[in-house]
Amino acid sequence: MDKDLISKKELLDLTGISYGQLYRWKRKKLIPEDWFIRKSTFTGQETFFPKQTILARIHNIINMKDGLSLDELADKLSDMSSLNSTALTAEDIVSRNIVSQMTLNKFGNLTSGQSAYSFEQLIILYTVDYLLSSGEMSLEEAELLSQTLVETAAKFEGKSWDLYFVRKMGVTSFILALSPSELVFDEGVRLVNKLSLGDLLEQLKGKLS
Amino acid sequence: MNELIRNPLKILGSTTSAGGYYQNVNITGECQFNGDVDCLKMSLTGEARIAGSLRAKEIKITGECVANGGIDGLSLRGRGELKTTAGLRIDSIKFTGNLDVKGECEAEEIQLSGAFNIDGLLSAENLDVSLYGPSCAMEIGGSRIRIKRSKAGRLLKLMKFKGDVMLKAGLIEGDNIELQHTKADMVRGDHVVIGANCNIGTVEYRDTLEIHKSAIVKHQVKL
Repeated sequence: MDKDLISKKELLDLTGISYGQLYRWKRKKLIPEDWFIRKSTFTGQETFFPKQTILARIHNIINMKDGLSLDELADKLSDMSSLNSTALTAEDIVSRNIVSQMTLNKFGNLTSGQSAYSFEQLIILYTVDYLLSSGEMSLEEAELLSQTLVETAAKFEGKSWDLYFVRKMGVTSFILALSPSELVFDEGVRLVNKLSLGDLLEQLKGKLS
Repeated sequence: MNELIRNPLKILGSTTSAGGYYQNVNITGECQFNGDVDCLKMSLTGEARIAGSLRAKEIKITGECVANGGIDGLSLRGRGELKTTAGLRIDSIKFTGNLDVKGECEAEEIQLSGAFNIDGLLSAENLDVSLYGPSCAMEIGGSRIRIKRSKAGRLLKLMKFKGDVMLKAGLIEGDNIELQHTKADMVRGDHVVIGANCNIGTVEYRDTLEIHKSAIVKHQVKL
């Protein structure tokens, strides 16, 4: 299942940036090398990008670049420590449209003594909300996913993971694998969705800033 | 982090060195480094071969410098030949001679008189090349790209200097592009000027396109 790709030309049209800016950001490592996917098309070589990730990143760059130099920006975008210390209250989350009210009510049970959500909790809520709102996942499955993520995501110790959401004969499984990973399933398995932490972070970063 | 002790290195004649951290490296003659070199300023007259990578704030070359690794720095000046096998990342390049890069060549400013052979992406904010010999790059990208043939290039051609004085590139992308004596499969830009003796497969332009009468452009597309 290929992620949606966008060609360089479409990207420039869509975002209104120029070739110069794109190459400059690439040189400054604002856009990671491995997002540039080269493919040959009938018009010759074309460069493609993972659509959601690159659009979120460009949106972040454009919004943040006022007042910051590109080098500072590069640090900020790759720096997770400021994000890890973010904490949001339930009202903030709903008003900023990060996670829907329903998901928050159902899965956002704060442990006692906590008044705000940490970034790790946000990622989990965001993931659950994303799959629920796409209509691919039922509420019981969401329960299982939320539990799985709460229990296991910490084991990756900050390393990036991929989430595989699969069904076989009506039975649902969630698989977390260290990314970049490539899993192969038997014929009866249907891969409903694959999400990577990198993409989720990028989208979440955009909503937070 | 501990502050490194950087000592100056001066070489006259022919020597080998293990490499390491230096303040200023001055070479007159020939030197072989058997490891990475990290220095503040490198001035070279003659020849240097580096078995590892080179990192220097300022690089000044008269002669030949070959690195079996990447070259990183803030400025590169001089004339001669520079070869690297793992990319070149320098803020400002003002060079006369030959650049031979395997990997990517990234810079903000490039002013080059001579030839280049880049097996990867040549990316620069401002790229200004005056061609003296056959050059090639897989991809060129930046905001202002200007390729022209120097008058001397024509003289060299008369003397049957190896091959045509031409630039061959797969893809050229930029905001303002001016080309001469270039053979490319694809050129994309906002303002594109295709000058004398160009042979371009497809030009995609947004605002303006000018084509010289001696240039061949197979397809042109206005976006």
